[in-house]
Amino acid sequence: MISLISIIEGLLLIVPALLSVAFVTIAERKTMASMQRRLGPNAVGYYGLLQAFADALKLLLKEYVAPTQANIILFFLGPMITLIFSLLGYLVVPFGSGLFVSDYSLGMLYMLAVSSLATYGILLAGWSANSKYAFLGSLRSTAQLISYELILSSVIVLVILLTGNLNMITIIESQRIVDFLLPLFPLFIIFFIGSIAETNRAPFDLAEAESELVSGFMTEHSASIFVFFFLAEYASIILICVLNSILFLGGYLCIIPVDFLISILNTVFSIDNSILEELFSNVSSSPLNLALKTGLLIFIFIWVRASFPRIRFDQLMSVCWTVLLPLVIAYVVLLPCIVYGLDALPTQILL
Amino acid sequence: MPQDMPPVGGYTSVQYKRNVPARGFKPVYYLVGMHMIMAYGFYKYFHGVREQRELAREKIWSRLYLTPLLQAEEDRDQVRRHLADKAREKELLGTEQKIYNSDRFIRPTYVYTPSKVTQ
Repeated sequence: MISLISIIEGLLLIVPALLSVAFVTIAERKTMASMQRRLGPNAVGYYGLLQAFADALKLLLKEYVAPTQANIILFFLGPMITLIFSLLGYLVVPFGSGLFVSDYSLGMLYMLAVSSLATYGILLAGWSANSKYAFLGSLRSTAQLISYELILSSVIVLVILLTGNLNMITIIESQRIVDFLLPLFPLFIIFFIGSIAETNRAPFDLAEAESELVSGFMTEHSASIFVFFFLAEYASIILICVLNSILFLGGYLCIIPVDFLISILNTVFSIDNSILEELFSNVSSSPLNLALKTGLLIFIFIWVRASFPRIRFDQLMSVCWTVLLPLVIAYVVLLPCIVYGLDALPTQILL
Repeated sequence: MPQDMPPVGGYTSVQYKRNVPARGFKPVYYLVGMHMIMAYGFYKYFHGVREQRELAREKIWSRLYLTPLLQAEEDRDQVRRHLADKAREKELLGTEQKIYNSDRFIRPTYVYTPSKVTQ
Protein backbone atom coordinates (compact mmCIF):
# COMPACT_ATOMS: atom_id res chain seq x y z
CA MET A 1 0.00 0.00 0.00
CA ILE A 2 2.75 2.42 0.99
CA SER A 3 4.76 1.54 -2.11
CA LEU A 4 1.65 2.07 -4.25
CA ILE A 5 1.17 5.50 -2.72
CA SER A 6 4.77 6.42 -3.39
CA ILE A 7 4.45 5.24 -6.99
CA ILE A 8 1.35 7.42 -7.39
CA GLU A 9 3.23 10.31 -5.79
CA GLY A 10 6.05 9.87 -8.27
CA LEU A 11 3.63 9.75 -11.18
CA LEU A 12 1.83 12.84 -9.92
CA LEU A 13 5.15 14.64 -10.14
CA ILE A 14 6.61 13.12 -13.33
CA VAL A 15 3.53 13.27 -15.57
CA PRO A 16 2.92 17.02 -15.10
CA ALA A 17 6.67 17.60 -15.45
CA LEU A 18 6.73 15.82 -18.81
CA LEU A 19 3.52 17.56 -19.89
CA SER A 20 5.05 20.93 -19.04
CA VAL A 21 8.09 19.92 -21.09
CA ALA A 22 5.79 19.31 -24.06
CA PHE A 23 4.11 22.67 -23.65
CA VAL A 24 7.42 24.50 -23.13
CA THR A 25 8.58 23.22 -26.53
CA ILE A 26 5.42 24.52 -28.18
CA ALA A 27 5.66 27.78 -26.23
CA GLU A 28 9.22 28.20 -27.41
CA ARG A 29 8.30 27.63 -31.04
CA LYS A 30 5.35 30.03 -30.88
CA THR A 31 7.30 32.72 -29.02
CA MET A 32 10.28 32.54 -31.33
CA ALA A 33 7.93 32.57 -34.30
CA SER A 34 6.28 35.78 -33.20
CA MET A 35 9.67 37.33 -32.46
CA GLN A 36 10.68 36.51 -36.03
CA ARG A 37 7.32 37.54 -37.52
CA ARG A 38 6.27 34.04 -38.47
CA LEU A 39 3.20 32.08 -37.52
CA GLY A 40 4.87 29.04 -36.03
CA PRO A 41 3.06 25.73 -35.63
CA ASN A 42 -0.68 26.33 -36.06
CA ALA A 43 -2.08 23.24 -37.75
CA VAL A 44 -2.16 20.49 -35.11
CA GLY A 45 -4.84 21.07 -32.52
CA TYR A 46 -6.28 24.42 -31.60
CA TYR A 47 -3.65 27.19 -32.08
CA GLY A 48 -1.05 24.48 -32.74
CA LEU A 49 -1.14 23.37 -29.13
CA LEU A 50 -0.84 19.66 -29.90
CA GLN A 51 2.21 20.03 -32.15
CA ALA A 52 4.55 18.68 -29.46
CA PHE A 53 2.49 15.49 -29.12
CA ALA A 54 2.43 15.03 -32.89
CA ASP A 55 6.22 15.42 -32.96
CA ALA A 56 6.66 12.95 -30.12
CA LEU A 57 4.38 10.46 -31.87
CA LYS A 58 6.34 10.83 -35.11
CA LEU A 59 9.65 10.29 -33.32
CA LEU A 60 8.37 7.27 -31.39
CA LEU A 61 7.04 5.61 -34.53
CA LYS A 62 10.25 6.12 -36.47
CA GLU A 63 12.66 3.30 -37.08
CA TYR A 64 15.68 3.64 -34.85
CA VAL A 65 19.07 3.10 -36.39
CA ALA A 66 21.99 2.12 -34.21
CA PRO A 67 25.47 2.34 -35.74
CA THR A 68 26.94 -1.10 -36.28
CA GLN A 69 30.18 -0.30 -34.48
CA ALA A 70 28.44 1.34 -31.55
CA ASN A 71 28.52 0.02 -28.01
CA ILE A 72 24.80 -0.70 -27.99
CA ILE A 73 24.23 -0.90 -24.23
CA LEU A 74 25.91 2.41 -23.48
CA PHE A 75 24.37 3.90 -26.61
CA PHE A 76 20.91 3.37 -25.15
CA LEU A 77 21.95 3.91 -21.55
CA GLY A 78 23.30 7.42 -22.16
CA PRO A 79 19.98 9.12 -23.04
CA MET A 80 18.23 7.21 -20.27
CA ILE A 81 20.75 8.39 -17.66
CA THR A 82 20.39 11.97 -18.85
CA LEU A 83 16.60 11.86 -18.68
CA ILE A 84 16.44 10.06 -15.34
CA PHE A 85 18.86 12.44 -13.65
CA SER A 86 17.18 15.53 -15.01
CA LEU A 87 13.83 14.24 -13.71
CA LEU A 88 15.28 13.21 -10.33
CA GLY A 89 15.99 16.85 -9.57
CA TYR A 90 12.24 17.50 -9.29
CA LEU A 91 12.14 15.32 -6.19
CA VAL A 92 13.22 17.99 -3.73
CA VAL A 93 11.44 20.97 -5.28
CA PRO A 94 8.83 22.51 -2.98
CA PHE A 95 6.04 23.61 -5.33
CA GLY A 96 3.91 25.27 -2.70
CA SER A 97 3.61 25.54 1.02
CA GLY A 98 3.61 21.89 2.10
CA LEU A 99 3.49 20.66 -1.50
CA PHE A 100 6.58 18.52 -2.06
CA VAL A 101 7.60 14.92 -2.55
CA SER A 102 10.61 15.05 -0.26
CA ASP A 103 11.55 17.59 2.39
CA TYR A 104 15.19 16.58 2.27
CA SER A 105 17.45 18.44 4.67
CA LEU A 106 20.30 18.46 2.13
CA GLY A 107 18.05 19.27 -0.83
CA MET A 108 20.37 21.80 -2.42
CA LEU A 109 23.32 19.42 -2.26
CA TYR A 110 21.19 16.64 -3.73
CA MET A 111 20.14 18.84 -6.61
CA LEU A 112 23.74 19.81 -7.40
CA ALA A 113 24.81 16.15 -7.27
CA VAL A 114 21.99 14.97 -9.53
CA SER A 115 22.52 17.72 -12.07
CA SER A 116 26.22 16.91 -12.31
CA LEU A 117 25.51 13.22 -12.81
CA ALA A 118 23.46 14.02 -15.92
CA THR A 119 26.76 14.94 -17.59
CA TYR A 120 27.71 11.25 -17.59
CA GLY A 121 24.79 10.45 -19.86
CA ILE A 122 26.08 12.91 -22.45
CA LEU A 123 29.61 11.55 -22.17
CA LEU A 124 28.43 7.94 -22.50
CA ALA A 125 26.14 8.68 -25.42
CA GLY A 126 28.83 10.59 -27.30
CA TRP A 127 31.53 8.00 -26.71
CA SER A 128 29.48 4.90 -27.35
CA ALA A 129 28.19 6.02 -30.75
CA ASN A 130 31.68 5.39 -32.16
CA SER A 131 31.48 8.47 -34.34
CA LYS A 132 33.96 11.33 -34.34
CA TYR A 133 31.24 13.97 -34.54
CA ALA A 134 29.35 12.59 -31.58
CA PHE A 135 32.54 12.14 -29.58
CA LEU A 136 33.81 15.66 -30.19
CA GLY A 137 30.34 17.03 -29.51
CA SER A 138 30.15 15.23 -26.20
CA LEU A 139 33.61 16.46 -25.19
CA ARG A 140 32.66 20.06 -25.93
CA SER A 141 29.37 19.68 -24.15
CA THR A 142 30.94 18.08 -21.09
CA ALA A 143 33.66 20.70 -20.87
CA GLN A 144 31.00 23.41 -21.00
CA LEU A 145 28.78 21.76 -18.40
CA ILE A 146 31.62 21.13 -15.95
CA SER A 147 32.95 24.69 -16.29
CA TYR A 148 29.61 26.39 -15.77
CA GLU A 149 28.64 24.08 -12.93
CA LEU A 150 31.51 25.59 -10.98
CA ILE A 151 29.92 29.02 -11.27
CA LEU A 152 26.48 27.76 -10.34
CA SER A 153 27.73 25.97 -7.24
CA SER A 154 29.82 28.96 -6.15
CA VAL A 155 26.76 31.21 -6.38
CA ILE A 156 24.73 28.66 -4.44
CA VAL A 157 27.36 28.82 -1.69
CA LEU A 158 26.51 32.51 -1.23
CA VAL A 159 22.79 31.79 -1.04
CA ILE A 160 23.59 29.17 1.59
CA LEU A 161 25.55 31.85 3.46
CA LEU A 162 22.40 33.97 3.74
CA THR A 163 20.09 31.08 4.68
CA GLY A 164 22.40 28.92 6.76
CA ASN A 165 20.59 25.83 5.57
CA LEU A 166 20.64 23.44 2.63
CA ASN A 167 16.95 22.63 2.81
CA MET A 168 14.98 24.09 -0.11
CA ILE A 169 11.98 25.00 2.02
CA THR A 170 14.16 26.86 4.50
CA ILE A 171 15.82 28.68 1.62
CA ILE A 172 12.40 29.82 0.39
CA GLU A 173 11.02 30.68 3.81
CA SER A 174 14.08 32.76 4.69
CA GLN A 175 13.22 34.91 1.68
CA ARG A 176 10.14 36.14 3.51
CA ILE A 177 12.60 38.79 4.76
CA VAL A 178 13.64 39.92 1.31
CA ASP A 179 13.99 38.10 -2.01
CA PHE A 180 17.65 37.26 -2.48
CA LEU A 181 17.38 38.97 -5.86
CA LEU A 182 18.08 42.26 -4.04
CA PRO A 183 21.12 41.48 -1.85
CA LEU A 184 22.58 39.11 -4.44
CA PHE A 185 21.61 41.05 -7.57
CA PRO A 186 24.83 40.62 -9.62
CA LEU A 187 25.00 36.99 -8.56
CA PHE A 188 21.50 36.41 -9.89
CA ILE A 189 22.60 37.70 -13.28
CA ILE A 190 25.70 35.50 -13.20
CA PHE A 191 23.61 32.51 -12.09
CA PHE A 192 21.15 33.12 -14.88
CA ILE A 193 23.90 33.30 -17.51
CA GLY A 194 25.42 30.17 -16.00
CA SER A 195 22.11 28.35 -16.14
CA ILE A 196 21.66 29.23 -19.81
CA ALA A 197 25.09 27.75 -20.47
CA GLU A 198 24.41 24.77 -18.21
CA THR A 199 21.35 23.79 -20.21
CA ASN A 200 23.21 24.08 -23.54
CA ARG A 201 20.93 26.84 -24.80
CA ALA A 202 21.61 29.55 -27.34
CA PRO A 203 23.82 31.62 -27.33
CA PHE A 204 25.88 28.93 -25.61
CA ASP A 205 24.59 25.97 -27.64
CA LEU A 206 27.92 25.06 -29.17
CA ALA A 207 27.29 21.37 -28.61
CA GLU A 208 24.62 21.39 -31.28
CA ALA A 209 24.94 24.57 -33.28
CA GLU A 210 22.31 23.68 -35.85
CA SER A 211 23.49 25.96 -38.61
CA GLU A 212 27.19 25.22 -38.19
CA LEU A 213 27.75 21.71 -36.90
CA VAL A 214 26.07 18.35 -37.03
CA SER A 215 23.96 17.85 -33.98
CA GLY A 216 26.73 17.30 -31.44
CA PHE A 217 26.73 14.38 -29.03
CA MET A 218 23.35 13.16 -30.32
CA THR A 219 24.44 12.90 -33.94
CA GLU A 220 23.82 9.15 -34.12
CA HIS A 221 20.73 9.10 -31.93
CA SER A 222 17.36 8.99 -33.59
CA ALA A 223 13.71 8.08 -32.95
CA SER A 224 12.77 7.25 -29.38
CA ILE A 225 16.20 7.66 -27.80
CA PHE A 226 16.38 11.10 -29.36
CA VAL A 227 13.09 11.84 -27.60
CA PHE A 228 14.84 10.98 -24.33
CA PHE A 229 17.54 13.59 -24.98
CA PHE A 230 14.94 16.11 -26.05
CA LEU A 231 12.84 15.58 -22.95
CA ALA A 232 15.93 15.70 -20.73
CA GLU A 233 17.02 18.99 -22.26
CA TYR A 234 13.70 20.71 -21.70
CA ALA A 235 13.14 19.10 -18.30
CA SER A 236 16.49 20.51 -17.18
CA ILE A 237 15.55 23.94 -18.56
CA ILE A 238 12.37 23.97 -16.50
CA LEU A 239 14.20 22.61 -13.47
CA ILE A 240 16.91 25.24 -13.62
CA CYS A 241 14.30 27.98 -14.01
CA VAL A 242 12.54 26.60 -10.94
CA LEU A 243 15.89 26.61 -9.15
CA ASN A 244 16.49 30.22 -10.19
CA SER A 245 13.14 31.27 -8.81
CA ILE A 246 13.66 29.30 -5.59
CA LEU A 247 17.11 30.70 -4.93
CA PHE A 248 16.55 34.33 -5.92
CA LEU A 249 12.89 35.14 -6.51
CA GLY A 250 11.41 33.57 -3.40
CA GLY A 251 10.00 30.34 -4.87
CA TYR A 252 6.34 29.94 -4.00
CA LEU A 253 6.14 33.15 -1.96
CA CYS A 254 3.88 35.82 -3.37
CA ILE A 255 5.44 38.65 -5.37
CA ILE A 256 2.99 41.18 -3.98
CA PRO A 257 3.24 41.62 -0.19
CA VAL A 258 -0.22 40.31 0.70
CA ASP A 259 -0.25 41.69 4.26
CA PHE A 260 0.43 45.14 2.89
CA LEU A 261 -2.37 44.77 0.33
CA ILE A 262 -4.82 43.60 2.99
CA SER A 263 -3.93 46.52 5.26
CA ILE A 264 -4.48 48.97 2.39
CA LEU A 265 -7.84 47.40 1.52
CA ASN A 266 -8.78 47.45 5.19
CA THR A 267 -8.47 51.24 5.27
CA VAL A 268 -11.12 51.49 2.55
CA PHE A 269 -13.50 48.74 3.65
CA SER A 270 -13.17 45.93 6.13
CA ILE A 271 -12.24 42.66 4.47
CA ASP A 272 -11.54 40.66 7.63
CA ASN A 273 -13.17 37.23 7.52
CA SER A 274 -14.39 37.90 4.00
CA ILE A 275 -13.86 35.75 0.94
CA LEU A 276 -11.26 38.26 -0.23
CA GLU A 277 -9.05 37.65 2.79
CA GLU A 278 -9.37 33.90 2.27
CA LEU A 279 -8.37 34.34 -1.35
CA PHE A 280 -5.34 36.46 -0.47
CA SER A 281 -4.13 34.06 2.18
CA ASN A 282 -4.40 31.19 -0.29
CA VAL A 283 -2.54 33.08 -2.99
CA SER A 284 0.25 34.15 -0.62
CA SER A 285 2.05 30.80 -0.83
CA SER A 286 0.39 28.93 -3.66
CA PRO A 287 2.15 27.01 -6.44
CA LEU A 288 0.84 29.62 -8.88
CA ASN A 289 3.52 32.04 -7.71
CA LEU A 290 6.28 29.56 -8.52
CA ALA A 291 4.65 28.82 -11.88
CA LEU A 292 4.47 32.52 -12.72
CA LYS A 293 8.12 33.17 -11.83
CA THR A 294 9.32 30.06 -13.64
CA GLY A 295 7.25 30.93 -16.70
CA LEU A 296 8.78 34.39 -16.79
CA LEU A 297 12.31 32.96 -16.58
CA ILE A 298 11.56 30.42 -19.33
CA PHE A 299 10.30 33.28 -21.47
CA ILE A 300 13.60 35.09 -20.90
CA PHE A 301 15.44 31.89 -21.92
CA ILE A 302 13.53 31.90 -25.21
CA TRP A 303 13.97 35.64 -25.65
CA VAL A 304 17.73 35.29 -25.20
CA ARG A 305 17.76 32.49 -27.76
CA ALA A 306 15.93 34.65 -30.27
CA SER A 307 18.07 37.73 -29.66
CA PHE A 308 21.74 36.88 -29.28
CA PRO A 309 24.17 35.45 -31.83
CA ARG A 310 26.08 32.32 -30.93
CA ILE A 311 29.56 32.87 -29.48
CA ARG A 312 32.71 30.93 -30.28
CA PHE A 313 33.79 28.01 -28.14
CA ASP A 314 36.98 29.68 -26.90
CA GLN A 315 34.94 32.78 -26.04
CA LEU A 316 32.53 30.57 -24.12
CA MET A 317 35.34 29.06 -22.09
CA SER A 318 37.12 32.35 -21.48
CA VAL A 319 33.89 34.04 -20.35
CA CYS A 320 33.50 31.28 -17.82
CA TRP A 321 37.05 31.06 -16.47
CA THR A 322 38.35 34.60 -16.84
CA VAL A 323 35.24 36.75 -16.37
CA LEU A 324 32.47 35.03 -14.45
CA LEU A 325 34.57 32.91 -12.12
CA PRO A 326 36.82 35.77 -10.86
CA LEU A 327 33.67 37.88 -10.32
CA VAL A 328 31.97 35.14 -8.35
CA ILE A 329 35.09 34.49 -6.30
CA ALA A 330 35.36 38.22 -5.56
CA TYR A 331 31.81 38.10 -4.18
CA VAL A 332 32.60 34.89 -2.32
CA VAL A 333 35.31 36.87 -0.53
CA LEU A 334 33.29 40.09 -0.12
CA LEU A 335 29.87 38.90 1.01
CA PRO A 336 30.93 36.84 4.06
CA CYS A 337 32.83 39.94 5.21
CA ILE A 338 29.65 42.04 4.89
CA VAL A 339 27.46 39.46 6.58
CA TYR A 340 29.94 38.90 9.38
CA GLY A 341 30.63 42.62 9.73
CA LEU A 342 26.92 43.41 10.06
CA ASP A 343 26.63 40.50 12.48
CA ALA A 344 23.81 39.21 10.31
CA LEU A 345 24.53 35.50 10.18
CA PRO A 346 21.19 33.69 10.08
CA THR A 347 19.98 32.00 13.24
CA GLN A 348 20.00 28.23 13.39
CA ILE A 349 16.95 27.98 15.63
CA LEU A 350 14.22 26.96 13.24
CA LEU A 351 10.99 28.80 13.80
CA MET B 1 51.20 27.31 -61.11
CA PRO B 2 51.87 30.49 -59.21
CA GLN B 3 51.15 30.17 -55.56
CA ASP B 4 48.67 32.48 -53.87
CA MET B 5 50.85 35.01 -52.15
CA PRO B 6 50.02 38.30 -50.44
CA PRO B 7 50.18 41.26 -52.78
CA VAL B 8 53.41 43.20 -52.93
CA GLY B 9 53.51 45.59 -50.02
CA GLY B 10 51.08 43.52 -47.97
CA TYR B 11 47.32 43.65 -47.53
CA THR B 12 45.63 46.95 -46.84
CA SER B 13 44.39 47.42 -43.31
CA VAL B 14 40.90 46.26 -42.47
CA GLN B 15 38.64 48.57 -40.52
CA TYR B 16 37.51 46.26 -37.78
CA LYS B 17 36.45 48.98 -35.31
CA ARG B 18 32.82 49.89 -35.71
CA ASN B 19 31.78 53.42 -35.00
CA VAL B 20 28.61 52.60 -33.10
CA PRO B 21 27.24 55.48 -31.05
CA ALA B 22 27.32 54.78 -27.32
CA ARG B 23 23.87 54.20 -25.86
CA GLY B 24 22.66 54.29 -22.27
CA PHE B 25 24.45 55.50 -19.19
CA LYS B 26 28.13 55.24 -18.46
CA PRO B 27 29.07 51.77 -17.18
CA VAL B 28 30.03 53.17 -13.81
CA TYR B 29 26.43 54.25 -13.20
CA TYR B 30 25.25 50.68 -13.77
CA LEU B 31 27.93 49.45 -11.37
CA VAL B 32 26.90 51.95 -8.70
CA GLY B 33 23.20 51.26 -9.28
CA MET B 34 23.72 47.54 -8.93
CA HIS B 35 25.52 47.98 -5.65
CA MET B 36 22.83 50.38 -4.42
CA ILE B 37 20.31 47.60 -5.00
CA MET B 38 22.60 45.23 -3.12
CA ALA B 39 22.98 47.72 -0.27
CA TYR B 40 19.20 48.06 0.04
CA GLY B 41 18.87 44.28 -0.03
CA PHE B 42 21.41 43.83 2.73
CA TYR B 43 19.73 46.58 4.77
CA LYS B 44 16.45 44.67 4.59
CA TYR B 45 18.23 41.38 5.20
CA PHE B 46 20.00 42.78 8.28
CA HIS B 47 16.73 43.87 9.86
CA GLY B 48 15.06 40.60 8.89
CA VAL B 49 17.79 38.56 10.56
CA ARG B 50 17.47 40.76 13.67
CA GLU B 51 13.76 40.02 13.79
CA GLN B 52 14.36 36.33 13.19
CA ARG B 53 16.77 36.22 16.11
CA GLU B 54 14.33 38.09 18.33
CA LEU B 55 11.61 35.58 17.48
CA ALA B 56 13.96 32.69 18.18
CA ARG B 57 14.95 34.24 21.53
CA GLU B 58 11.29 34.73 22.42
CA LYS B 59 10.50 31.14 21.53
CA ILE B 60 13.35 29.74 23.62
CA TRP B 61 12.52 31.91 26.64
CA SER B 62 8.81 31.13 26.46
CA ARG B 63 9.70 27.47 26.55
CA LEU B 64 12.03 28.04 29.48
CA TYR B 65 9.32 29.88 31.40
CA LEU B 66 6.73 27.25 30.56
CA THR B 67 8.90 24.37 31.77
CA PRO B 68 8.06 24.66 35.52
CA LEU B 69 4.35 24.90 34.77
CA LEU B 70 4.40 21.83 32.57
CA GLN B 71 6.51 19.97 35.13
CA ALA B 72 4.06 20.85 37.92
CA GLU B 73 1.15 19.62 35.85
CA GLU B 74 2.93 16.38 35.15
CA ASP B 75 3.79 15.93 38.85
CA ARG B 76 0.16 16.48 39.90
CA ASP B 77 -0.93 13.91 37.35
CA GLN B 78 1.68 11.48 38.59
CA VAL B 79 0.56 11.86 42.21
CA ARG B 80 -3.10 11.45 41.31
CA ARG B 81 -2.42 8.29 39.38
CA HIS B 82 -0.15 6.95 42.10
CA LEU B 83 -2.81 7.46 44.80
CA ALA B 84 -5.53 6.02 42.60
CA ASP B 85 -3.34 3.02 41.94
CA LYS B 86 -2.76 2.54 45.65
CA ALA B 87 -6.49 2.74 46.33
CA ARG B 88 -7.28 0.27 43.56
CA GLU B 89 -4.65 -2.13 44.89
CA LYS B 90 -6.05 -1.91 48.41
CA GLU B 91 -9.52 -2.60 47.13
CA LEU B 92 -8.39 -5.63 45.18
CA LEU B 93 -5.86 -7.12 47.57
CA GLY B 94 -7.16 -5.85 50.90
CA THR B 95 -3.70 -4.72 52.05
CA GLU B 96 -1.13 -2.36 50.77
CA GLN B 97 1.68 -4.47 49.44
CA LYS B 98 5.04 -3.36 48.25
CA ILE B 99 6.15 -5.07 45.10
CA TYR B 100 9.72 -3.76 45.24
CA ASN B 101 12.11 -4.90 47.91
CA SER B 102 13.14 -1.31 48.63
CA ASP B 103 11.97 1.82 50.42
CA ARG B 104 13.06 4.00 47.59
CA PHE B 105 10.29 5.69 45.60
CA ILE B 106 10.08 4.09 42.23
CA ARG B 107 8.37 6.16 39.63
CA PRO B 108 5.56 4.07 38.21
CA THR B 109 5.03 3.88 34.49
CA TYR B 110 1.53 4.34 33.20
CA VAL B 111 0.55 3.16 29.79
CA TYR B 112 -2.32 4.91 28.16
CA THR B 113 -4.54 2.65 26.10
CA PRO B 114 -7.64 3.67 24.23
CA SER B 115 -10.92 2.50 25.70
CA LYS B 116 -11.95 0.79 22.48
CA VAL B 117 -9.22 -1.22 20.83
CA THR B 118 -10.05 -1.95 17.22
CA GLN B 119 -6.84 -3.37 15.85
